Amino acid sequence: MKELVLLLKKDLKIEFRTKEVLILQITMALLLSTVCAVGIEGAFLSAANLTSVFPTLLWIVFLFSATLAVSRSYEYEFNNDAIYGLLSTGVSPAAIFLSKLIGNTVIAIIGQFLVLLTLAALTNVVISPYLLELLIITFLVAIGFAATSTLLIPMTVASRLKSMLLPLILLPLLFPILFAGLELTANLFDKGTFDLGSIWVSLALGFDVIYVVLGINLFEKVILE
Amino acid sequence: MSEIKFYQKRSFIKFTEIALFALTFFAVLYANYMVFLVVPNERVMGAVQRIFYFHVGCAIATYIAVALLFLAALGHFANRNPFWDILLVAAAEVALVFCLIVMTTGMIWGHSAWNTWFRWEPRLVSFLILLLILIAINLLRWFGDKDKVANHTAAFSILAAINVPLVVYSVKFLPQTAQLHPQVVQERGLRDPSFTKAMLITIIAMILLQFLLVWVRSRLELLKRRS
Repeated sequence: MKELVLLLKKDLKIEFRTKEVLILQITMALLLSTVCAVGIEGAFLSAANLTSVFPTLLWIVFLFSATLAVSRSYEYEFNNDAIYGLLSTGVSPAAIFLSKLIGNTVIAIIGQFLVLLTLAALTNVVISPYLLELLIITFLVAIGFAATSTLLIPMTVASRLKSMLLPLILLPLLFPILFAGLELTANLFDKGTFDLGSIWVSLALGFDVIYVVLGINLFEKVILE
Repeated sequence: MSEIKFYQKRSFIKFTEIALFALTFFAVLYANYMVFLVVPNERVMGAVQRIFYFHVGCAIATYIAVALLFLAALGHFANRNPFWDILLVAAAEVALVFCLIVMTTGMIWGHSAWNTWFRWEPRLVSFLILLLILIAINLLRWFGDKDKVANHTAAFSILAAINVPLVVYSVKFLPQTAQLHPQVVQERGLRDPSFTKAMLITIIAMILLQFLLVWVRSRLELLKRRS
């Protein structure tokens, strides 16, 4: 537990000093939202149609910017094999995985809210009544997203395609959770309802648990010989 | 190198290979005979319906290849024998091939039955996701980190194989106007006894073909590694 807190502190300190991820996320959210907004402006969608398209755009932009943002989360570990130095201090791989998982979850949630703000502002969709529900949905998706990406990023670091490989292998595993997130958001915007007992919430939660548990167990085998 | 020992039992290899090849050859031949010459034309669909036998056979073969993939991944982490890694490579590629056949035949059938190539329908979606996952495994194998690729694909395969039954279960909740995919077996739709027979034969033939392909691909991989 102490290890975990220390590792998290280290990551946060690096991010606080460089602000790399935050700047990247703000810019990505702004750029992609602009592209979407331009397309929507040109299509002259009615307000009702716009709210039914909005969830899809939201998750596409989220995937884009979040994958980009987390893909460099091991930047300082795999440079000069610093991760082996870290491991030789006696830190368990599970602690490294969990610290990166928490870090990436936070990155994904912050990223989603940046996307929400910019996209809603540029397309004139009202999101203020749904903020709490959107936070819960984002949290559900972000955990699964962070768990899979935290496990898969080390696989792509030394590949020939570099970080290009990450979205190719990450997205197929994410579909069930994404479907759940998409359905919940669509329900929220279409009917204004959010039911914690719905099958989609339990589905997303189930996949989150599976991915986190498998990640903790497989991470050691992924980074070591 | 215990895997080499396993493959060096020459007589065993020769016998298995010839037996498997002969069995597959005759099974596929018989399946083709049954499907194209014996089974009567279906009343509504006509001749197009005959693709269904291969479609179902390949779908079952895909699931078996994915099961082999899962087994190989578990075996790899259990004792790190190169045999498992070779099996994993073979199973991943064969599963992809069969999954592609299922999608293609399904689309041909769907185009003549529903007048559309793809419907947002539970079973179609689950197979589409399976196809994407299998592509991802093979991409990881081709472009991944050369030194640790065995570990990486094994870890990814475990995630993927656990995903498959869950996806099959969960897509049932997707929004849908109607369950379009025919549930032939559940509805006891095979009226003519020759339908059932052709169906069984084709399934067996496709499963045998799948094992033969896995076998050939593993031998190829072994030869590649030895050279």
